[in-house]
Amino acid sequence: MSWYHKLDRHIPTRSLRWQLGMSYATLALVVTALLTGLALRIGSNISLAAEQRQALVAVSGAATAFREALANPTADLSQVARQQSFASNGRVLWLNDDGTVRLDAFAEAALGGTKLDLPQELAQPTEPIARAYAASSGWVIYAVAPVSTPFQPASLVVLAQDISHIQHDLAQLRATLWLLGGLLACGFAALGFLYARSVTRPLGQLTAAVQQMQAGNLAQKVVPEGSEELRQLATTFNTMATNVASLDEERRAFVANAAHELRTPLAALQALAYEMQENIAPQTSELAAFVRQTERLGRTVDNLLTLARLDNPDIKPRMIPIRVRNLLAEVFWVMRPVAAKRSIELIFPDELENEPWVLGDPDWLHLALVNILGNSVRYCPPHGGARVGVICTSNTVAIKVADSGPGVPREALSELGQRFYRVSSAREHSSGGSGLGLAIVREIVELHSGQLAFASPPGAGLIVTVTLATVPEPEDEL
Amino acid sequence: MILKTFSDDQSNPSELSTHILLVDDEYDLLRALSATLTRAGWQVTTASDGQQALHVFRRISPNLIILDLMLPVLDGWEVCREVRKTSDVPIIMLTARDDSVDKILGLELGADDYVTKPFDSRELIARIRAILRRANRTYTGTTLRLADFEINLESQTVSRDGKQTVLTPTEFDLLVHLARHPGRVFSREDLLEQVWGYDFPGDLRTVDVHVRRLRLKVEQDPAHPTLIRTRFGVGYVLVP
Repeated sequence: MSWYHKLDRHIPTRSLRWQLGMSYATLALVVTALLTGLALRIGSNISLAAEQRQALVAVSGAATAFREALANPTADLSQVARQQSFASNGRVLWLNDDGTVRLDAFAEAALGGTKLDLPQELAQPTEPIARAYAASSGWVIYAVAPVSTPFQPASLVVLAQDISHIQHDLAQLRATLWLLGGLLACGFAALGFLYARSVTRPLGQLTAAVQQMQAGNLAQKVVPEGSEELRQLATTFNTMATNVASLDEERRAFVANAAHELRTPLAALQALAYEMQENIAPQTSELAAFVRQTERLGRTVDNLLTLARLDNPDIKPRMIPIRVRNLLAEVFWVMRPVAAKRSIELIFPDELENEPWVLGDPDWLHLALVNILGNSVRYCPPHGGARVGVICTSNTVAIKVADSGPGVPREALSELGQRFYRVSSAREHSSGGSGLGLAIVREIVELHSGQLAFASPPGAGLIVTVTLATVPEPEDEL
Repeated sequence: MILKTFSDDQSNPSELSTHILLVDDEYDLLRALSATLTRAGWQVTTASDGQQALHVFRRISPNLIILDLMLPVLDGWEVCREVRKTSDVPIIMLTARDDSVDKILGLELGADDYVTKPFDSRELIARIRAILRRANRTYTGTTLRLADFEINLESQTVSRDGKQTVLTPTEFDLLVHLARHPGRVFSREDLLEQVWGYDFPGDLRTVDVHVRRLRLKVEQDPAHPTLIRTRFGVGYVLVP
């Protein structure tokens, strides 16, 4: 295991807070390093330049003093050297132009007679020069100036100054700057942690909410906070959670309703079966009831399966051009015998000048129209009727089914087509409807991007209108 | 209008006096079930919607009502609420829904029992018998004293400081049963068997709902019961 992984186990280095804090701290340290470097460089340049200027003045003074002393035979040269040395706070040497030390201010003949190996640029000066060097003992300044007199051979004065105090000052400055930088870095790291909190807190809440949803608690809500993007995320999440919860509620209601629809006939069947079992001679009416309830159960299951198929988002209707008249003719062929059994008359639409065509799935459209007419047949009193009309506009066709049934109260019209909705439970139960027929119609019409409308004028029955877009008649009719 | 009184000459004459009102909007179920119940020895009157049910109830004063929840005009809850205003006749609710909320609501409104559709007619008969047995239960002895309560076993009433508290028969039976064995912990199964008289598995929620309703009537602070206490994971106990 690498050190990184070990670290990661104890400190969550991959967490946003940690990473942000560390980034801030690193940034602060890099800035500190750059600034410190710059400050030291500028500081040392300024100090050295000042020292060199002073050294130049001092060495020029020393050279002048030596020149005057050489012109004066009574002058004590070593006295001059000491004086100059004292004045300039450095070590003054008097050299032959070949570099041999003739006089050393510090100690009589300490370097006397030795040959100084002066740096190239200082060896043959024509005017005073000062240079700073980093010696092993610390920083020094060497300043040289030629001493030329008419009667003496050329010689030069060397001033050596210890300027290691500058080094100390700079080191102190560096330490101070790094200390400040370090504190700054800590501050920034803390700032990063705090700032990351404003991001991690909303994220943590979102994560908790998602986990709750995963656990099945779908009604989740988070408070939008933090940055704009996080607020947006929270709002989007809330909308999604609300939708999911309501979908789940719908599903739950659907399942409960479906169970109710299946249990009701089952309860009747079970009671009938028990009664038939106990009764030695089952009556014809009981058998008829048994068959009726079984058929009803079968119809409910069929309808539920149809709805499940229509609910499948992958469903691809087989869209082909259909002549509306042919579609209606097939529906009438199926429904006429059913209607005749209850003495209900179905009236076919009149011939039109231009017979409309629609694009649709013939099976689904057939089922939708059978369901609408089936409703009419179911609710019309005997000897009633249902009339089908076809109304064309330039690009739509409305198929209108008007029956002579009891109609639907105005307040219930908007509920028609809802799953399991029944206008009156009593009426439907004896008729055996499952409350799914018009829901299936609605799904099919939606699948064809059509419109479904219900009307129930006073004194008349229910009018169901299906409006579909028309298509031009195909060239070669299949 | 489906309003018919089925009666059977062969039935036990002592039970013939027991009149059951059967309410369901499903004609086939109504017919089959009333035939079954008639053969079991009861007099059965049927109604197929809520309003009719209330009408018939006022006319015949049945000894028991079997009430479907999903009824046209007035639903089962409305009927239950309406009946409870004037009578404590036992009510068995029929429901085709699974929702425990529905069931609990039915019990809260004062139903004594509920049966989920589809059901076994034999089980329904057993439940009817158990409930009728309880309704006709007579107690020996005169009064039971319990804390500041006086339970009058003859008139089947409970009073505190001379003020009468109205309990349904089931609540009364439950209180008497617990009061006769103070300090004894009863599991919910025990109570179903001993108070409800079930010799078949019943829904334990029935017990919980009735205990809560009883607490609402006899506890000073129903949220923190001191008389009828819950022993978590075990059952209920009366601490006098």
